[in-house]
Amino acid sequence: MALWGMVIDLDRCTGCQACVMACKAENNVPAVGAKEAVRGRIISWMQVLTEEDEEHPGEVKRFLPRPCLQCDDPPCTKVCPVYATYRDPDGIVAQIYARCIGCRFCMAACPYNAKYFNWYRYQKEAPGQNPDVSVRPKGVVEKCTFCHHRLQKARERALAERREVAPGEYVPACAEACPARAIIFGDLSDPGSEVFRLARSPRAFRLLEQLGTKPKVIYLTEGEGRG
Amino acid sequence: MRVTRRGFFQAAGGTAGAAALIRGTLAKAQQAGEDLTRWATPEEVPVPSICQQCPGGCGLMVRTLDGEVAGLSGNPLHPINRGALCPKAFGGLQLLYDPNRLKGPMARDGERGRFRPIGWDEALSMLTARLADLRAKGLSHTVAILGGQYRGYRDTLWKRFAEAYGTPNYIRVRCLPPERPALAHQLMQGVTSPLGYDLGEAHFILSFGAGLLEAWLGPVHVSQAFARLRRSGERPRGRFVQVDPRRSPTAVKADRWVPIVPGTDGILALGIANALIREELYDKEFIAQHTFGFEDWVDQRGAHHEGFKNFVLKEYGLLAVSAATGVPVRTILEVARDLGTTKPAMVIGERGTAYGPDDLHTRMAIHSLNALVGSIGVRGGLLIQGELPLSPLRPVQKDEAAARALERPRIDGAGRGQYLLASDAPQALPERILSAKPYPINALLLFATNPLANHPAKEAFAKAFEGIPFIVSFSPFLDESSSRADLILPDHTYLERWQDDQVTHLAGFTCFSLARPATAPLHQTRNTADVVLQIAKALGGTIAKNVPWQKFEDFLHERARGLYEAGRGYVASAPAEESLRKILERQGYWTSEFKSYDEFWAALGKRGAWWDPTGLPVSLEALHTTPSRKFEFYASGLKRLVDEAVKRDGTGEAFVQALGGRDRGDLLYLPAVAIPAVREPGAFPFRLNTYRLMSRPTGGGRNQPWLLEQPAVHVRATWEGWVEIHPKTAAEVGVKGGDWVWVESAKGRIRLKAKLYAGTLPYVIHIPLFGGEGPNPNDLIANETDPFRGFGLLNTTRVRILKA
Repeated sequence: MALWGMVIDLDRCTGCQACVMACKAENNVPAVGAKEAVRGRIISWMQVLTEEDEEHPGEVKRFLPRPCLQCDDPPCTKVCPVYATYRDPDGIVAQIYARCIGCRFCMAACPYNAKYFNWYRYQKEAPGQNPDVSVRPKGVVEKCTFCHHRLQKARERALAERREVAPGEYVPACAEACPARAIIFGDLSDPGSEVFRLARSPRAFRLLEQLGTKPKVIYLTEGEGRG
Repeated sequence: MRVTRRGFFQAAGGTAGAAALIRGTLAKAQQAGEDLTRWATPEEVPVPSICQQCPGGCGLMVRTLDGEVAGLSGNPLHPINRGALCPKAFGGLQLLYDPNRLKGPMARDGERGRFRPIGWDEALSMLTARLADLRAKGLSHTVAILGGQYRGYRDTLWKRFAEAYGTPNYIRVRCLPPERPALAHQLMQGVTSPLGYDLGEAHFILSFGAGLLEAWLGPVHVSQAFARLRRSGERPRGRFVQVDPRRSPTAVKADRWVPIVPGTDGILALGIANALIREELYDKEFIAQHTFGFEDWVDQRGAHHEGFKNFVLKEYGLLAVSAATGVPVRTILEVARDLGTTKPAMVIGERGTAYGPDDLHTRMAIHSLNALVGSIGVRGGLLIQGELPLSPLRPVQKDEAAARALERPRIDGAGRGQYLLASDAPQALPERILSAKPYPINALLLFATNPLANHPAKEAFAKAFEGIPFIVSFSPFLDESSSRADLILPDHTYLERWQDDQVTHLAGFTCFSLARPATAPLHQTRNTADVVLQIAKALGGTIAKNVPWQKFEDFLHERARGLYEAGRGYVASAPAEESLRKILERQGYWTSEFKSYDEFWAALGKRGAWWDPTGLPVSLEALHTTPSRKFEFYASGLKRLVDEAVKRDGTGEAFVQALGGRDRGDLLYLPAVAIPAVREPGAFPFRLNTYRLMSRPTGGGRNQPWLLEQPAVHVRATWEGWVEIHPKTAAEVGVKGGDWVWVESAKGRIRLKAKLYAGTLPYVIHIPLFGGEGPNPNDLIANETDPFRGFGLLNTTRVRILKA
């Protein structure tokens, strides 16, 4: 079974937010409106975080795109009282909207703030939406799914043609859009894949690694380091 | 057939009786039919298109389901973006489906600002009648066409129409024409087509305020090059230095951010030149063989002229430069040493808002560094943009009326006097319209521009509009400008129309993009290019003869034939296929992939682009077409131009004044930037710097909620513009982050939320150009004009801040 993962090269990332907007278009994530946005309710499955420069306080030093890190040991699934969020066999942390009761325990448990709550019915069926992704009702939690619907499609196609899913056949929208090619996606368990190699780079690190969440999104630091 | 719950109730709900029963059965059958069509898998067709959110011209692949747009991604074959996109591209979906788009043509109903819907036939005949009437009265030159930011054949068509109809006033309202070379390049190198920057292959880039990773030539193309510069795998990590008053995202990504007093970039460049010369780090071979005016020289009349070298050594000592620019001497030296010792290195000072009143000399000073480090015509340096081998158009056959009208001076004064070098002078336009000099404007056509919101002289434009008897807008939206029109003939948005794009400034290749409609028009709108053809036809005579095409599509079809017949280049294809072709071509083989032009055209429509990756004239001869056939530190071409203008009609004198005045002598033609005297801050202690955000598309993008909700990441902002203030400055004026403040200039004031950002010089405040309605920095910007580009100076205004 594949272990889908992502490597984000911060040396290449320019903080442009193409990944953010690609995600919104792909997953029918709506704008919540000015009023709600000010209350901190923007839904952004992929979000570009910034890090302050310690030497020059108040200045930005680094951009860090943060999707759901798809932890191999996710804290969010353990607190869900209704099994609405779980780690599926591909290692993708899934969210079942119909089961979610909106208790937001998972949001509190996620150390990366990768989960978002629908305070109102932000999403409405509208032209231009992606029919492969359902719109979410009010009162449920949502988050990045690694564009799981694309995996399903790729799998169906492969099945129909009686073959395995080819490398590169399944890529999330953010990785596809990234203009600096900072987001690399693939199978972490395949020694031939680029992500396998990069995940072992001396530049590689994981967010809040000490928590033991084993994220499958791996970052590469900026600077001269090789790899 | 399944009995649905709804179907059952519908059937049961009918009153008893045969008729009702039949009706029920019918309803069920109908329902089942609807269900079948709704549940059938829709046919998925990818349609190539071109993103028009900025001048980058990235290739799109639009996902259509049964003819309806259901998402978009980058066209993986397109040579400009290779499948990648920037955030703006996705806003195109919301632009297409904007509920506030105009549903059809509108005509003014009573006073301005009130409209009634009309049909296309009526609308077109209104416009044609007006144009025909003006032409019959010999007033065709009093029709002005204002065009915004677009390229390719829509531009060609408007130009041709204007020429055939007989008006010199086809005026573009945009900062810079990307299809022309930068003035500094034109004057110092003599080039007639734009230079391309081989960013990806450079090892060192020094950028003077160019927003490389935000809003420069094409964000995707540049980001990809940036990624290659940083991590190509084969060579050391390339470095880059950003000179900028503000620590922009580009400056964050740079190895070094050099904060600078706004407008003094040219002085810094000359300081760096001084250090390069003093430490003998410049490319002596290039200077000796390919440049003119570096050493002192004697002209034909025996007069002695000071060369660039001695002039720079004398005038731009590092202490003086440091004092004027605010850049420490040590930094200047370090940057100069990096620049002089790394090869290939390149220096960028093109595009962006004007550096200051002496924009031309500033850019010349910056560009002279490229000659000093010998980065012209080398890999990883500056290349020249090749020309597309499109089918040429026959010259316009003007009738007498048109020829007479075209001899009139342009209303904006571009190309004459003060605006000798400007191709358009939109900044001067409103005043000239108001004063009816040299003649009054009787009709104004607005295409892809909204000067009443997005131009620094917007109030002047508003006033000028009041006096124009007939205004036609082609905007798909009821925006600030179109709402003052007498007639609106809404254009399609770019996903609905046939169009092309010809992007310049590409690193080492030429590219022609073609897009067919991804969806049928959602409303009663028409491609403006088609409308132009229809008007030309209706006007008849020589106009119809010169613009004879039925549809814009036919016009494109005819022009693209040249690409097929050129015997070079390819319709974009998969990378593997392309590398094979490149290898073959290097060995001298080139075969056409297609048997006929129809095949070629079909493939072009399916893959979205034609390009020629090889065969560019990068030779030094092609890059140096000045009178001396060398890179000229002393721009003799400029001198000749000025002398001719002075001699011809005496209008050159105004330009000499704009350039700096006669008493500056040779300095007018050298990259000399005067070191300004220190000014007392006075009532307005802060300098206002406006900048363009990565997330703001051409025209503002007020109708694109995704982009509006997350416009930037370096400050937390959403849905509305803001002002960036240094925390120290904020403390001085008693403002905290998130407070509302008034920003006041001599011209006006606007209320904005304050964001504290330390990535700036303390006495400079920054406002992003947010576009559309809401507080607009254009309300503050003093209407000073850049005489070289004819556009307003966006970054010279002084302001103060008051807590609201």
